[in-house]
Order: sequence, then structure tokens, then C-alpha cells
Amino acid sequence: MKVVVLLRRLLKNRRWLILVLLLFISIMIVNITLNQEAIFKKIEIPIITVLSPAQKILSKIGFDIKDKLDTIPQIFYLKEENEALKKQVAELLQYKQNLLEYQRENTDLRSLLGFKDKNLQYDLEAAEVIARDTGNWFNVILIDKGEKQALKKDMAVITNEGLVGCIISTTANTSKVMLITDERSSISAMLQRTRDNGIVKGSIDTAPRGYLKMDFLSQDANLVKGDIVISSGLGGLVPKGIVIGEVVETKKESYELMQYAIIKPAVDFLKLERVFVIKGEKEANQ
Amino acid sequence: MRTIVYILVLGVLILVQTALSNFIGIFGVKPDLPLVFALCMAMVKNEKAGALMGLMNGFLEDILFGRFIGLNTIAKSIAGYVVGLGSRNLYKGRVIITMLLVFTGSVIFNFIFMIIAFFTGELIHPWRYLLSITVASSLINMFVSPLIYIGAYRIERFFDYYFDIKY
Repeated sequence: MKVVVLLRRLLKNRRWLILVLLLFISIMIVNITLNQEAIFKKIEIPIITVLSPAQKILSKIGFDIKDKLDTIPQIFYLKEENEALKKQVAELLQYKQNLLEYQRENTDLRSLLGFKDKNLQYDLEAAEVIARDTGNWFNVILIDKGEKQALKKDMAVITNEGLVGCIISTTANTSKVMLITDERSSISAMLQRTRDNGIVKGSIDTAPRGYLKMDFLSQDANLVKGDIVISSGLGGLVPKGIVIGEVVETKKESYELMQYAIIKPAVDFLKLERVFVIKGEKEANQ
Repeated sequence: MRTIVYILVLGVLILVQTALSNFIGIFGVKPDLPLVFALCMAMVKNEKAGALMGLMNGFLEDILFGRFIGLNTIAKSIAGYVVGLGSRNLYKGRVIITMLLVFTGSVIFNFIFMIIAFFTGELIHPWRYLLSITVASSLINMFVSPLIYIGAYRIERFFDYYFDIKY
């Protein structure tokens, strides 16, 4: 009896009825757009097409302002920075010499073993970042290249510093890229020095923010601070050998079966302005 | 006329936020300017305006950065509606009330966001970030709210004056 009275009162109160109806419609919309990508794309494409030019201009203005603001304090450190860079150049030249030597040695050994000389290069598409996720939960960026440039979902996105993320959806002229720092991202990776495998995940709470977590490292993996982490190529999304970051901290899991590492990404996501999408691999000119 | 101007202001705030969001954060947490505007509109006008602004803001964010419609759309419209409803009988305009209502609205938004993200599989353990995201971002929103409230209030008063004189 009481339930009937309550229902009657609820039905009389139009506001509640409308709210419940709206909530029901919202849940339906979530369900439909979540399960049917085609419907979401039909709504998404015209809106992004209209907004992307304005975003491109604003993004450029933002970067220009940031660049100018960044140069002011740099003036005071130019002399010291110059000295440090000279030292770095000298070191790099030495590395280059060593590398050339190794390359020659490698070619000789491969020909001795009868291996075909594998010299693959990535087929890259340059793109500009035109917008960034406004919220604090996820890390998604919008780039100004899309299906017209043959970009597809799941393609890896890089800069000259390292891995940025993967494309999660495309329109004709734009693509959404989920950064490796996003909570939902996970990439197969390995330590360059020891070849130990693991999974690099984005995390909201990995202190400090913006760092990554490398999980599933075996208990006996030899981890050292400063180790470089690269993509392992497993899973097929990201090609092998792309730098992800460097180990800054190692920790044992509470149950001590595994260990994990905190990774500092190689890419500075705050200064992400231009990226490259890996469309595939191609044979380089021999 | 008013609605068009409010939509334009909201659109500009969203565009500014998407372009400059990396530069306006503190310790990696960014203020959500469009959400704060929607909450301020709920206070200046009423709960319907708050819900409408929240809905439009959330919808655009879902389209631009999301994988489906609803995550931000539902969370932001409910936050706008609740703040509008909660501020009905309050003496509006005092900085402390504005800040407290924006903080509450931001917490409501983040909480509903977490629930939807959990049920849609976007986040597996959203509760772990209750402090690092929900409280931190709500605090930042709270501190920028007086400025945005003044902006929203001025626009509303200008329109009141304009329509009083003209009609």
C-alpha cells in the first residue's frame, strides 16, 4: 500500500519523473555509443571537423607563448648550458665512432653467417598536436592527421625522443592518440641492457605524476637505476626497439614474486608539439 | 541571445582549455575551467542552466577525447544540476559560498565520473585515485571559481540591464 502511495506521489511530481527519464536515456546513449563505434563516429566526425581548425590555431598560440616564457630564464644559464653541451657533443662523437665500428663489424659477421642485411626504416607521417584532454583522469591528445593520410587505429606514435602512444580513433583529418601515461595504456617492453620483459603501464598515481610503471618483471631481473626501457614488439602494436624511458626506481611487489620499476618517460609530454605516426616499415635504400 | 553568448563563452573556455591545459596545471593537476563555468552558471541562473552548460561541456569533451558519449556528459550535467539546486536558497555572491559550491560540484562530478568509468570498463580501480584526482582537482577548481563567477555574474547583469533598457 505504501509503495503504491509512493509511486503515485512520484508520478505526480513531474520533476523526478523527467530526471529518471533523462537518466534512463543517458544510460541508453552510453550503451549504444560504447558498443557501436559507427554511431559514435557519425556524431564525432562533423564536430571535430568544425572544431579542429580553431584548436590548431589556439594550440599554436599556446606553444608560442610557452616558448617565449621558457626562453626568459634560459638566458641566465646559457654559458653553463653551452659548456655542458660541448662536453656532451664530445662524448657523442666518441659514441658515433664506436657505433660505426660496431656496424662495420656487424655487417662483416652477418655476411660471414650468410644473413640477409636487414635494414628497415619506418614509414612515418608527421603530425601536429592540436588539442589535449581537458580532464585529469585520462591522457589523450588530438593530432591533425587522419584517415586521409592513411592513419589507422592502433598505429604507434613517436617523437625523436621516444614512444608517445597509440592511435585510438581516427576521423578524415584528425586522430585521437592515447598517451603511454594514460591509465588505460599498456605496452610490452623490455630492458635494453638485460632483455628482461615486462609491461609498461600508464598510471594516474605513480608518484611523481606523469611517470610509468613497468610490471611483471621477474624476481631475478637485474634492474639498475638508469636502465633504458624499450618496446619489445610483442603484441604487434608498437615496433620493437623504440625507447620508452629510463628506470628511476625499483620496487618489490608485496608478495615478493615479482618486482616493478618506475619509469621516467623519454618524451616530455608537456612540450609535445610535433609527433610522427608509424604507418609501417619499409625497406631502406641500400 | 543570452543562451548563444553563454554557449560561445563555454566554447571559448573549452578551446582554451584544450590548447593550454598543459600550461595551466599545478603539480600535474589542471583546473577544469568549463566545468567551473557551468557550476557558476548554475549559481548565477538556476539548476537548468547549470545542467545545460554541464551537458554541452561534457558532450564536447566526450566527442573530442572520449571513446563514447556519456562519461563527461552525464557527470557534468548532474554536477551542474545539483549545484544549481543546492544554491537556490543560499545568499549567492559571497566568495566562500561560491568556492564551497564549486568544490562540492567538482567532487560530485569526479565521483559520478568514477562510477561511469568503472561500469564502462574505462578504469579498473578508480577509487584508488579519490585523493590524488578528486580532491586535488576540486581544490584547484575551487580556487579559480571566484574569478569565473565574477565573469558569469557580470555577463548576466549586463543582459539584465540590456533587456531592461531595451524592452
